[in-house]
Formats: sequence, C-alpha cells, structure tokens
Amino acid sequence: MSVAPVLTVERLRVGYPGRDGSIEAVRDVSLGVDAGECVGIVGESGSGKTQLCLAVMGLLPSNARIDGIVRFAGAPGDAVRTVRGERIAMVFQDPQTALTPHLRIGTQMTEVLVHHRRIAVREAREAARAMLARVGISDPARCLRRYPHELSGGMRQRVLIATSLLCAPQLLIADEPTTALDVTVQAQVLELLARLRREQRMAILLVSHDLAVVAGLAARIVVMYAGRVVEEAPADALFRSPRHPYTAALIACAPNPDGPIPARMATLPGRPPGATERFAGCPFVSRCDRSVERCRHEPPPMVALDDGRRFACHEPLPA
Amino acid sequence: MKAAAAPSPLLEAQALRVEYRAARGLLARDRVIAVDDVGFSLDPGETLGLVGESGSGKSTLARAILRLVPVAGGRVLWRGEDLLRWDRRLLREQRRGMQIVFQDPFASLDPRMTVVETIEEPLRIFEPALGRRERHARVLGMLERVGLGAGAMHRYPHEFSGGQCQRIGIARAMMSEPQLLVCDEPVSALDVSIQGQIVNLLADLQRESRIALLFISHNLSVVRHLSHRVLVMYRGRLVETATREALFAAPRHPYTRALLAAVPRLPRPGIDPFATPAPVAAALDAPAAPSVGGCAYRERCPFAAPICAALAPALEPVEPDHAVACHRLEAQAP
Repeated sequence: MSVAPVLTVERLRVGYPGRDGSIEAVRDVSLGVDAGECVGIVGESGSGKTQLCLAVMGLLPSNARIDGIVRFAGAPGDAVRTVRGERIAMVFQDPQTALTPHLRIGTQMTEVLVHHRRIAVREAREAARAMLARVGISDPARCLRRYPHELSGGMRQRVLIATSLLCAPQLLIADEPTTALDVTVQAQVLELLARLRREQRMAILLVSHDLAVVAGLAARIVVMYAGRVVEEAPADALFRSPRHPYTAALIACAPNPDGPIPARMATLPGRPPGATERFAGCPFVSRCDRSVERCRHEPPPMVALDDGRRFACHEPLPA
Repeated sequence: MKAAAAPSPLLEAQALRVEYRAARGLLARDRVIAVDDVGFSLDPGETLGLVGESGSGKSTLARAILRLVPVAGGRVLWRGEDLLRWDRRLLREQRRGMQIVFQDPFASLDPRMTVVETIEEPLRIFEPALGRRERHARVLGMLERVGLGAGAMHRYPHEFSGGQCQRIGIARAMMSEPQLLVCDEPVSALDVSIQGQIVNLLADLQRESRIALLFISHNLSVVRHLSHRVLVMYRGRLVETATREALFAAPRHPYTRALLAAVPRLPRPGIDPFATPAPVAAALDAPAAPSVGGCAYRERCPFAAPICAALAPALEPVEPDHAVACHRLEAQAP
C-alpha cells in the first residue's frame, strides 16, 4: 500500500475487573485506517465497538486493562493524549448529552480552538461560525448564541461534528453518529461526512449497528462480534459475497425498503455472548447455522486473502 | 356498550386537535398545535403505520387517542362511542381494550419489580377476583406466547437484553386481552438483528388475536413490512395516507418521497448505494416554529409555489384509499 495508515491498532485487548470474573470487552482486535479512507465497523450492541473507539481515543476509565498497540500516524501509543481532539476527534451517539447544557454553543465551540491552537477568542469565534456554515447550519451567528436545548437533534449533531472538525483532524471517529436522528437528518449527516472525507482527505472510522448506514460511506467494512473481528472486506465484496455466517446474517436481517415483502422478517436467533463469557471455540457457534463440531472447541484462526479480505471461520460461505 | 356492526371501525379519529402551551419568557405562553385536524380509522385486526420525524406529533396523536394527553378538539370513536366524553370510571374500565408499548424497553419497566409482578399487574387491576395461582398460570401462558419461558418469571429487568425487555413490555400490554395495541417506536432502541424478532412477534400476536395495531415508527422499512395502511405526518398534520403498496411504490407527497429517499439501503442487485440521492429537502434546517397558515412543509419543499404559503392544502383523494395534502402534485414527475 502506498498510503500510510493514519491509525493502526494491533492486538488490542480491553478488559475490566469484575465480580464474576474479568470482563473482556475487546478481545485481540487489529485494524488500520488509511489517510482519507472511511472504514466502517459493524456489530450488535456489546460487540466491543464503542470500547474499541474509546481505547483509540485514550478515553477509557482508569480501571480498564488495555493491552496491545494503538499507533496514530506513526506516533507511539502514549502520544494519543497529545493529539486527541486536535488530530483525532470523536463524535458520540447522543447529541443531547455530549453538549454542556448551561453553556452557549459559541462558548463550547471556541474552547476547543483556544485550548489547542492558542488563538484569540474572536478569531476562534469566526472559525466556529464558518464551520457551522460548512455543516449546513443556515444562521450560524445565531446558532453560536444559543443553548443546546434550543437546537433540534439534527442541529446538535451537526454542531458536534463542526466542533470536532475545528482543528481539521486527520481522523474522525464517529460512533453511531446518526442513531438518534431522523432518517432525513441522518441522510444529511452521512452526506456531510462523505463530503468532508472527499474535500479534506479526512479519514473516518464510522461505527454502527446498522450495515445500511455504513454501506453508503465506508470503502472497507470490519464486522465485530463478541469483542473480536470476525470479517473484514472491501464494502462491495462484503455485500456481494460475505464469507462469515454472521456477516451473512446481518445482511439478511437488514430491513429492505424496496422489493418484495417477505412473510416474515429475517431474524438472527439468540443473543451475543456476554462480556464475561469464555469460549473455547468460535463465539458465534450457538447462533450459527453452519457450525460443526470443531467450532465448539477450536477457535477459528483469522484467514487473510490477498484481495484485502480476512475472516475467522471454520466453515466459511463459498466465495 | 352498543354492539358494533361488523364492518365498522374499531377506532376512528375525527378532526383531532391537540395543543400544548409552551413557555416563552416569564409570563408569555405560546400555543403549540401538536396535532392539527387529524382523522383516520382503524379496523379490527388491521395494522396502521404512522410515520414522520421527531416533533411531527405522532406520539402525541397516539397518546391523545388513549386520552393520555388532553385533547383540544375533535372526536375519538371507540367502537362508535366518543371516548373523549367518558368519565374516569368508564375510561379506566375500557382501557383494558387499548394498550401501549413504549420505545425504551428498559425505562418502561419498573427495575424493582420481577417479571411476574410486572406482567400480572394488569390482571390485578382488571380482574381483581383472580387468585394468585390463576394469575401466575396466565402470566406463564403469556410469557410463552411472547417467546420467554417460565425461567423469566422471577427475574428482574436488568437481567434481560433490550429485545427481551421489549417482549416483557408486550406481554404486559397483551395481558388484558386488548383489541388495540399502540406501539410507539417499539423497535427503534433495538439492534437491527433483534428488530425482526419483535416485528414477527407482533405479527404473530395479531394473527392469533385479531388485534389492531397502531404502529408508530420512523423506520420505514419496518413500517412497510408490518402495515396494511400508512399515515404520514408532518408538523401535526397528515400529509399522505395510503395503502402500504401505494405509499411505497407510488408516494405522492414531496415529504413522503424525501423520507423514502433518505432510508439507508444496502447495495442490492440493480441499486447503486453511491448514486446521488433524490433531493431530500431544499433547506437543511426545518424552521424552529411552524409557519402560520399555508403548507407547513413549504420551507423545505423543492416544489413550493406562492399558493403553498397562502393556503393550507387539504387531504384529498388521488385514488381510492390514497389521499395527499399538496397543492403541487402536478409539478412533480409521477
């Protein structure tokens, strides 16, 4: 690859001490994001997506046990603290709680610039105004004077995205950025992210439980299950021929707004294993319709193909 | 109660209007019209989908027909009787026929009550003569119907996943054998992989009990799967009503079209996910306060004309079972 990765995660583990044995939130995850690339991470709640993001950002609580390597554009892992908010930014799921309720939007937005860039407040305010206009806020000057509760959910999320972009980060981590939003606003936010990626060559790590949300934006998709990566592939290949049965099940479950209506919605029976569960074999075995005896005892190794795909399954679907 | 004739609707709303008073400064109060001149009917065993974005008034409408919020005008006929005229006692009696399932499966369950305590509560209210053993037998039967076993009875909500909590909420609502189940965003808080389970469960319950569903959701794919007819709401008014087939195959209102175009899609044969989406809205920000008079959608509508500001469009039939409130139908390509 000629492009240098902006983010490299190697053999990352995140665990917590718990009363009933330790909790393993992320179990041996490796992935990379290239400059200007959008990588999607998909998985059900509890699959470790958010813990992975927080680990990359260095925002995990102090009782977390972290093992492995997080490298940002060549800098060693410890350096994340110094680049957080400036070269890496994160947008969270819930735009209601991510803003401080008693501070005006302008105060919250300019704080970031004043802290990281040490520029004058007036200058920071102008930058904030310009960024609000870029994310499609129709009256940015007025928006700066408002409090979070005076804005709609879509406006709040766009304010958060604008805030995270003020320092022109090389990587934006977006954790379920549209889950709390209406479909029309969701479409606008996704379109905005696509535009920023194109125009600023900003890399995006887009996290969602909804394959359809990442489908329109991510060139590469990582599927997580029970804290592990079970499949990774270029988006078109993943949708055309998923190799891991879990990926195939997620695709089948995605509700379809077009085409014939089936008598019953496709479902994935059962639920993912809990974070305290240990498994000798494949974590998906209890829900898998292709499982064989060895899936119970032997963890499936990650198989990497030369077209950029990898998957961990003893009985993969045919290519 | 009068016995209803066979083809008559279970529930009918006529010119329903709900208003809130919103604070504006210290003393001034603004009147906000949350539901404006809404009419629809729902037959026994039918599923009516209700879609619209947050703030469109869909939840308020659902609460209004259950008399959970005060109604400012119009009528709500339950098997032909105006339930807005019922006194408290009659309302309480009749409520067993109309139940609701909420969006947040955790918040809608009492964390200090076991599953059996939660689910038997409607029985304690509506069938106080029932003994404990009989109540528990009924709870067990219902748990099995919603796909949870006897093992769930003495556990607490925090021991269950979101999908299982939603099953508990559905079991509680079904306990009084209602004829109407209002589902207010019942799958929106759930993983995509779990949504189908709850949708299939609702479909099964409807087939077994001929229960009518008012299914509120902003997820159009799920609404399409479950509904017989669909109402589209914008800023408190119905902008389009149609059968499921007509609404999804040939939507007429610009807002309905924008909603459908905005649904994220998986790449499927013949559909390019990277294709430029249809124009969603001319303006990104919906105005904070609805404009007075005229069509409420006009600020976002790419087809708006002077008449749209002058006159609120009425909901008018374009085909049998398909009505649209828009002045500019002829301006759009079909």
